[in-house]
Amino acid sequence: MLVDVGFYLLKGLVLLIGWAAACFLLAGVQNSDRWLAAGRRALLLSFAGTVACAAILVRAIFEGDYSVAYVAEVSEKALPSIFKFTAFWAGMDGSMLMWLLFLSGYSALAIATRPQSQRALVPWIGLTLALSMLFFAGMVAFMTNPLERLEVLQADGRGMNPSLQNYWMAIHPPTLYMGYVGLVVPFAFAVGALVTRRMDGDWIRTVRPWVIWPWLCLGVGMVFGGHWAYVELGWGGYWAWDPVENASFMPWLAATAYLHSVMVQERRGMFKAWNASLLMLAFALSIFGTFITRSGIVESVHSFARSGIGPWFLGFVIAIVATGAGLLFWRWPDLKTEHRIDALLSREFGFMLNNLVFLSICGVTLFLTMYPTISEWATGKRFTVGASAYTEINGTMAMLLLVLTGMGPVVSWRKASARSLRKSFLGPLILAGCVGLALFLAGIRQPLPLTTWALSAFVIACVLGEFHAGARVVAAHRAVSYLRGLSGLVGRNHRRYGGYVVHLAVAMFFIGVAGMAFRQDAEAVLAPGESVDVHGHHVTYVASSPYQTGRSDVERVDLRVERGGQEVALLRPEFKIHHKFPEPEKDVAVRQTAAGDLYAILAEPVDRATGRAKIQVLWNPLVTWVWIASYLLIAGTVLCLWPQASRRAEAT
Amino acid sequence: MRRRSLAALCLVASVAASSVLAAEVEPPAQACVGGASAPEAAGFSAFEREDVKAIAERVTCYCGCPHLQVSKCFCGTADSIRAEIATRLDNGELPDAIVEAYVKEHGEGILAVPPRIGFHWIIWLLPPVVILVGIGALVLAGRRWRRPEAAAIPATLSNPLEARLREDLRRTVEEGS
Repeated sequence: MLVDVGFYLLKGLVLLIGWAAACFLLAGVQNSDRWLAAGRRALLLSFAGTVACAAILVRAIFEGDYSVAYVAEVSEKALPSIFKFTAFWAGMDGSMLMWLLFLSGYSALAIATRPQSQRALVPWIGLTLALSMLFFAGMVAFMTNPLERLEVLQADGRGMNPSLQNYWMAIHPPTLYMGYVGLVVPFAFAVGALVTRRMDGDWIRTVRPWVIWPWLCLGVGMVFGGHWAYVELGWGGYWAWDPVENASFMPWLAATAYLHSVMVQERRGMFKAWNASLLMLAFALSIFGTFITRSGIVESVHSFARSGIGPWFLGFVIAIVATGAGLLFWRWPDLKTEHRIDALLSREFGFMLNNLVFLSICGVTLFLTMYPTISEWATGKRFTVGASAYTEINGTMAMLLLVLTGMGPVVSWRKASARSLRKSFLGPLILAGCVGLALFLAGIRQPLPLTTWALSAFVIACVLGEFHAGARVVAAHRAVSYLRGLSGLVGRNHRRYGGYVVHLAVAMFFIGVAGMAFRQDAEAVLAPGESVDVHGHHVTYVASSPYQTGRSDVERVDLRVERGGQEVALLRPEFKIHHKFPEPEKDVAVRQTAAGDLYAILAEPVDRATGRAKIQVLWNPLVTWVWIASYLLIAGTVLCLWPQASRRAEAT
Repeated sequence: MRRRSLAALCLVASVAASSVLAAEVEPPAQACVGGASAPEAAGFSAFEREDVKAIAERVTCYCGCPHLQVSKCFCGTADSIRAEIATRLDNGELPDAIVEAYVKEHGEGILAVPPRIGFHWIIWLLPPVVILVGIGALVLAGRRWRRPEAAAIPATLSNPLEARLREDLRRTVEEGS
């Protein structure tokens, strides 16, 4: 009964959201507070309705109502409770409802917390949010309704794909979706600012946390996805330049470009049109990514089943791009810059270069992702571009980015002299040269990792140099200790020093990623007591132990790891054969250290007659630094968003 | 003088560090495997052979994991492809001929990266062209957008970092008070 209510409630939401859009339009055209209040009420009510539908779906999953098609498709009686909860977004229909849930949540929050200074923008922000919601509500209600009943009742569900039954999958998709969907709010602000011709700095400041939050969610969501791939897919890596990975990477790049270039607008009143374009691009790319994964236009390991919603998403992307381009064209005369560039040797010009590199990587990634379709148009045959080409091309461009990551914080606004640059960069350059030389002499000859590590040292030296010099100045100015000076420095400008922490995280991330160039691997069919050596680790197959879970037959092997004659770990990789799914699952075992991960895979079921097991062992250098970098990125972003002490004092 | 000493110190440190690193960074030599008998070892020897890896890098696995090269895929299909590559190499076939054979059998889509011929050159030419043209355009635009009186703006002071920090500090203290 409740499921049927939810089914029709989703359809009813379309009408309600349509009404909200109409109210906001009238509020904007007539400048009417009455219509604005009506629109706000309708939007908040539609959020409540979406929450109710989501709750009904979760309840149906937990109660095991297998008369609901979606529940029967992604859940089963024996599914552990945590995965019954994640079943909400494990399939296409549920994930679309989650999109709508987040979208309506963001919209309600944006409208409910509207700043009074932005009153004129609110109707247009509301209209943009409502129209976006209308699109998703329409998709959910009429194309992918997760509360649709089956014609034939089933006793149990099919169950969730075993590879999705992983704790990283409990947080990876929601985090990523919060990033994708969150970009709608800055887009709506940009539309509002353009329509009302209020292109001053006010809306830029209001929208700042609304950009940083989805940017953080996208970045962290990608890392969570990398974690999942690393421990679940059993191929020893965390990023394969798969179209779905690229789909989250591209809007993140556009948002990162914006977060840099907007500083120029705040400080100098420049790049107004460019910044508005970047916000529109970021949102368009987030929808385009959804189009890629749900249309089947390119093959992906993550692709949802092909469905008829692809063309609708393409239409929505076109509508976003057309709206953005149209508004920019319409308001072009209002977007004139307040200042001009004073010198090429300036932070402003550095940000222009930074944006060029970010958008080049974004454009190239888009091009390579779409290459199967492009090559089919051009040559009549579909060609897929493998991970090695992405790494080579984007890796080379990322070197430019690393240089700018180090230089950016140091170069002065307006105009920097060659002499000041020489002074600022001499130390970091010497350090980078020494690191490069040391690595070269140590036998590292591969150009990309060698350059990456040297440039990462440059970035770290530049950023730490900024902290050090600033702490010294503050300590001297206030006559306090160096550490209190450092704390005072960071406390006085969270945004700047949070950004510098993010730059450190970027350098650390590159250090970790470059380590994978030195991956070593071995594979052996071993009898108990036999061993294989990888990167100084002596791995001995001790014994195997099969067991059953009720849903799968599991083979587990014990691998004793010795280093320098000392036992350092016992690894237990597993091979699972699921009763309901044909694909076997390899649960890897990983020993993590700062130097690298020892990664063990049981490649096949153990031969019961001989006791032999096929073992693959990988040495993945420096992977831990990638995960640490992601935590540092979170810390830096939180610092950026943390309110300044003076503002807090004013507020109280 | 102090700077020179610092540079010299860094140089010495880098040479010392390199010797430590040299001990740590092992060349990606074949891993030593103990115990497995020859027939069972066929798969793993193919897995670790550098000549097999070089070819396995060039083709993607057709197990259903798009984008994963045979060298990086650990499924049974990739195992058998690696073993087959090893056998073909042992039979005297040349690497290009082996890749060509896979293309004939499975189509050009099996290639991990499209061949560097004809239209596919765009993959390799587009990124540097975008970057170079972009930088050129930005420099030209930057010059055009430059204020005519830009030359009058003094370059930063003798210690630019300190001057900038002092200015920022002054501003934040004033704002805070």
